[in-house]
Amino acid sequence: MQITYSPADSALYRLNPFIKGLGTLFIILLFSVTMQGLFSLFFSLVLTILLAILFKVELKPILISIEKIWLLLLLVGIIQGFSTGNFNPESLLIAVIRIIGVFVTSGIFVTISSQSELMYFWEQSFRPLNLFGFQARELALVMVISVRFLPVILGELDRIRMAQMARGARFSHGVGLKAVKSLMPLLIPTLSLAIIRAEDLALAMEARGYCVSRQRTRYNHFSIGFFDIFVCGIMLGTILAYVLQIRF
Amino acid sequence: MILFDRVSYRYKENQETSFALEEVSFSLAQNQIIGFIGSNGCGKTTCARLIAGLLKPVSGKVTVCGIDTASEDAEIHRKVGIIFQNPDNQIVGTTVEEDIAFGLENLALPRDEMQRRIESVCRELRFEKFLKLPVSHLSGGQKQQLCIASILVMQPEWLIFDEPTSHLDPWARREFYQVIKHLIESRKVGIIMISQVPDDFDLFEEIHLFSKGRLLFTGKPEELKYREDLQPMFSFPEKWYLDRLQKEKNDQLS
Amino acid sequence: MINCLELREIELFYKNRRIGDKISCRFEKGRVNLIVGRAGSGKSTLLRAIAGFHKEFSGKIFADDMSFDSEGRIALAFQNPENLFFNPSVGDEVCYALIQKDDKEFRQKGIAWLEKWGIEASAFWKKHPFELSGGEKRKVALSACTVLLPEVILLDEPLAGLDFQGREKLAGIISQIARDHIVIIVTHDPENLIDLTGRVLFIGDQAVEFKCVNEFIAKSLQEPDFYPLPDWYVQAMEQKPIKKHIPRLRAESVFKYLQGTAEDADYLFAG
Repeated sequence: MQITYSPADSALYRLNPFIKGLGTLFIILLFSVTMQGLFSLFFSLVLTILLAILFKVELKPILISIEKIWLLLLLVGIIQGFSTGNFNPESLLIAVIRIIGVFVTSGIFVTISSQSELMYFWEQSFRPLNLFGFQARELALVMVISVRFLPVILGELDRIRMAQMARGARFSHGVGLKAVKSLMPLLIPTLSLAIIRAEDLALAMEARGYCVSRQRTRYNHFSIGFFDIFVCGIMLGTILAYVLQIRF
Repeated sequence: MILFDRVSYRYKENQETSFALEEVSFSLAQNQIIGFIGSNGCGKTTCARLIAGLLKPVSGKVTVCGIDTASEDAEIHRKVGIIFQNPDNQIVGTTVEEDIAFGLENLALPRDEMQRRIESVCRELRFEKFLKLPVSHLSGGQKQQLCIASILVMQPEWLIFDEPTSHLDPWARREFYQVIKHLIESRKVGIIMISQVPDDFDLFEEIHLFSKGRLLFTGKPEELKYREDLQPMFSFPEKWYLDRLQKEKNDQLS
Repeated sequence: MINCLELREIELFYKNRRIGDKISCRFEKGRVNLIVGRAGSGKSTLLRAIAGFHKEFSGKIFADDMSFDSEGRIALAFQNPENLFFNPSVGDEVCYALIQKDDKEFRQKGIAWLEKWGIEASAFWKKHPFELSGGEKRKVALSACTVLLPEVILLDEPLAGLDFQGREKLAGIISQIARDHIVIIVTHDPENLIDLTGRVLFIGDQAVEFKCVNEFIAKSLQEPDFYPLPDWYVQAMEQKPIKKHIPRLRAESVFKYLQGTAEDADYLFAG
């Protein structure tokens, strides 16, 4: 199941896209950098999931997708588990929960943000680059289109894998160069299809009047509401509490 | 009005001698459904892209509604809308509404105007219920209708369809025919349909037959039906063949 | 070699949701078998289930009344198989599966099979796959997908995207191959194939039907909402009451039928 935008109506969905993005980064930082213990990390993960359920986020595809990163979880978990010399199950669990936390949070962000919201977020984030002559909106569109087509291309990769297997391909044998070679039936078709797709898309966008240098208007308007300020307040409060806790 | 005056086109990667389109001249009038037919690689798609201003002729001149497509005038994209074969490769937005708005944003229209146009087109195509849906929830036929809606909001004077029915099942094909008939009746527009599907030919009021970069025939379908010399050049509809057999029989009797 | 592939009460699931009704049918060798239905009705999923790629289904598959194990006995060519090309020459492309299997006689076998698909090996063997025309690409791709000569060949939309002449030629080739293999084709555009078809599996919203092609067309003529046949055929057939045998979807056959001069060759296969 692909993690994609799935609309619903809740305060979380109505958040200003920029605050949504900031909040996501904030929670990701919370999971990845802070030095909490196992219990507080676990508690944060459960809280994130509970909040997501409360705000009607469709979690099923995200939770199912965790299965796809099990190898990463296992590897990082084992490395972390042995990081102090002896095997320590607590470090293993901490590492696993950190990754799951980051994964689930980003998944939620993708689920609750439509394309124009993502676009708005990237645009606002790239705005400082305007000072150096970069077109923030163009860069944002590039980011958004890659996000839009990523699940499409991943789906295609899956179909090509199946189709090549159906004609007798075997992918995972050999090491080094041989392993790379056995992946050719997968890589070349996916790449050439992606190029065709990109060419088609460029043509279609041009035909619909898209032109890099021209002024465009915006269909969706985003304002800052009470809930946005509230979320900012929570973020600031948490940062403050964290800083204070380190100092004293 | 579309005018082709001795237009040639050659794709860069091909050799100098092989033309995708060679010295083609014709004119197309609005308010009718025009078919571009011929087998794979005959030049019909190149022709459509020249009209849409996506390609510039190597020699000759293409004029659409008085605009020379070789000029850098972006107005051409407002006049001509093109719907490509694979809907998946032309949908930019993640939701139906955003995708329809994309072209309007490019036209730099104010928000009220965008909303008004989107509402009216979606009402017309009975597409309102899909407006808030993510694109990934649509079926193939619905995605195609989304592409049509996205182009219609830009209020073009010409609509080009590139093999629109070849990927549809027979049920969706019938729905598509209904949409096309409705479009030509309800607005001042010219429709060009590139096709290899004989069932589509029933829609055409004028046919342009291409072969190897040249225009072999321009005229009414009734005329083409009895041109036996051109029959191997395209997918000759069984319907026409039957008509011809019956006419021969009647001629014999009388 | 098996002569018949039987599906018994196959029920497909997709992400734990059931799609369509129970499917029971017998696909036989000799003539092409068609699967038709609306987009999204589960046609392609059924093919994948038969080939062993889609595991979410209940029911049983039998080959000549023995339990059927798809491993190595079935080939499935997906839609637009030419998208799978990745070798520098036609020869490498066709022989790829044989080489993977360490088959020493890959060259002879590859050439023989490619020729069966109407591609002259001597002229094409060294060519780059991207140099070919649309129809040639499709034939090379299909032969590469089926080069292990499996007993059952499943094709998903083999004619889609080709021009009329290409479709006619390829349909003829596929029907030749159906003499020695069980060929099952999923399509939403069966016009070129109907004449060559033995049996049709129709997967509809309401019901699943498995019929001889003759009965399938008869039912479509009687119930216009069942399956939309080409308008010209339906209109022509209104002129004469339908009897047991039904003319092919060709102008010539229909004309002879209306004149009362139709011969056996003008009728659809009737079991």
